[in-house]
Amino acid sequence: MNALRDFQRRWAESTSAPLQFPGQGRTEIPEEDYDTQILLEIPGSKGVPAAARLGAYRLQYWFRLITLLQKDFPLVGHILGWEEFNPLAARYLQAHPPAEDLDRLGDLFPTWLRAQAPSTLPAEAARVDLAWNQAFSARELPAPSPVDLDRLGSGEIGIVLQPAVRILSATRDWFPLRISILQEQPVPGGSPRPLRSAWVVSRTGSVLRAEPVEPLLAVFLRDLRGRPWIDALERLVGKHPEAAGSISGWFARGLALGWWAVETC
Amino acid sequence: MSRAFARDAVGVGLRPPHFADAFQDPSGVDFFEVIAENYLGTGPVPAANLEKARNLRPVALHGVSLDLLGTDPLDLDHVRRVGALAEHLGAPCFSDHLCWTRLDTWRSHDLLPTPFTEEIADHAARRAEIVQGTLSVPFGIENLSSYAAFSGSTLTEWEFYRRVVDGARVWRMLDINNIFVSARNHDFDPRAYLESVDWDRVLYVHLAGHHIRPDGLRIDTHDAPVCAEVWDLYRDAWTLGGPFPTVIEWDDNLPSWARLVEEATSARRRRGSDVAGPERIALEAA
Repeated sequence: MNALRDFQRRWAESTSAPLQFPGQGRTEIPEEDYDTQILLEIPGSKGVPAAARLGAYRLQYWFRLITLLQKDFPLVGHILGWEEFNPLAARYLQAHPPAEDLDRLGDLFPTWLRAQAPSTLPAEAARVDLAWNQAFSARELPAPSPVDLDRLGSGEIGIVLQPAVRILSATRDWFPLRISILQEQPVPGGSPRPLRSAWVVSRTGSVLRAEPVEPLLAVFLRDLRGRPWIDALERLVGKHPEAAGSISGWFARGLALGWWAVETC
Repeated sequence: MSRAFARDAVGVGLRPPHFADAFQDPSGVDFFEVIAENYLGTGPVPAANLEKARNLRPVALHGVSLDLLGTDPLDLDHVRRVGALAEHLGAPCFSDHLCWTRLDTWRSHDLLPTPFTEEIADHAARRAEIVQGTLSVPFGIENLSSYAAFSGSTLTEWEFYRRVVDGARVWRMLDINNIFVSARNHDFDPRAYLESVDWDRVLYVHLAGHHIRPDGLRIDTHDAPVCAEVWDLYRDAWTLGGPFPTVIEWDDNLPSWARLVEEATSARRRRGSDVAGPERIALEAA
């Protein structure tokens, strides 16, 4: 199967060679990139030459991936416009080619975008989009039951963050805009209103929520990731004694919003 | 326990935007087909929706990443996960495409063709036989639509397809739209293709819409209604080999659920009933 493998290597290189985006929403396929041997292997016919046939696969390769990023990052698309988004997405995909799992295609997009764009806003929008996507696809651990809550002091069980919970800081009120875009409602152009806050994105069942939270709660939740409740609490109160009076309120709030999961010790 | 579907059943490819409407009113659809890869992860939302689907109708699994024509080692872990999902669902069958999808670290996320040669067909048959041996449900191979043909081919597409299916002793998952798209792109007679099919090895058939580019090349987009010429070919297939189950695929530019069900109803109406055959498909792993 060496000949087949060589053929597949020529094909892969030819069909994942970058497209060109000359502006005004146009896409061009630079045909000089093609391996000459593979063009000889594909007989053109019916007025459609080999390069155009290979180009059909090349367009599919790129547009399938770019479309997925468009779907996963609607806020970025909204503030940049698709004409600017698409070439950026293509450059990102060149830097980070897709792996098997397309659900993780955009995992590095916010970080990559932060290094590219002069404005911090697209990267912030990307972080919000990514948090939303990750909250949607995260697994769900058992939430604490009333019986579990009675056993909390026993040392037999502990409270941890649900994997869906994402904590992020933002300078804009992105979430109503994102929901409107997803629901295909009319949305005003430009960026959403300024609102500097920490946010918690979470999911209960199939319902996603985003809540602005006070800075100390965000610090606590970040510390709680991968750490027992009591350790995170001690760290927080050690640094911020004023937080002690807020803990029971935070716990009740998280219980109502599905932030907590129960873990057997 | 496997939930088989009737030999003349009509199903649809079930996609997430249709979940709510489909679960509320699945009438008009005899079974669902879902993309297996979308349900192999740990995400609870897809899993919950799949449970709802299987409580309403039999669910056939359809894959896009088996890489039968590939030269990387077969991903047996993937096959086992598909098998476990099929058993959990009581799926009547699993199908994937006669294509390649990856090379080393490169992932095409597309269904790619190769030249049609005996050597490559035998290579794919060996891989398909391993897949069937790993699964406890019948495994069907879907014929590909393609936009490029190859000077190195020594077989017709239907000879190639038959050699793989027969060599592996597996089933056909026959895509009528793909036959038509390839026939137009490569200038062969789609009816000659249909006449080569051993119909008692057809799990079910696919129907879908496609796109015609300005240069005449037809692209298998699944973003439109089934076109008149494909309906005609479906009718020919039914006359030659019916009854067989049918799935309407619609993946992009999605219509309403009601419109999709209407397309399924069209399949029943257009094929007529002038065929004789077993009332229920009897599926066994080969």
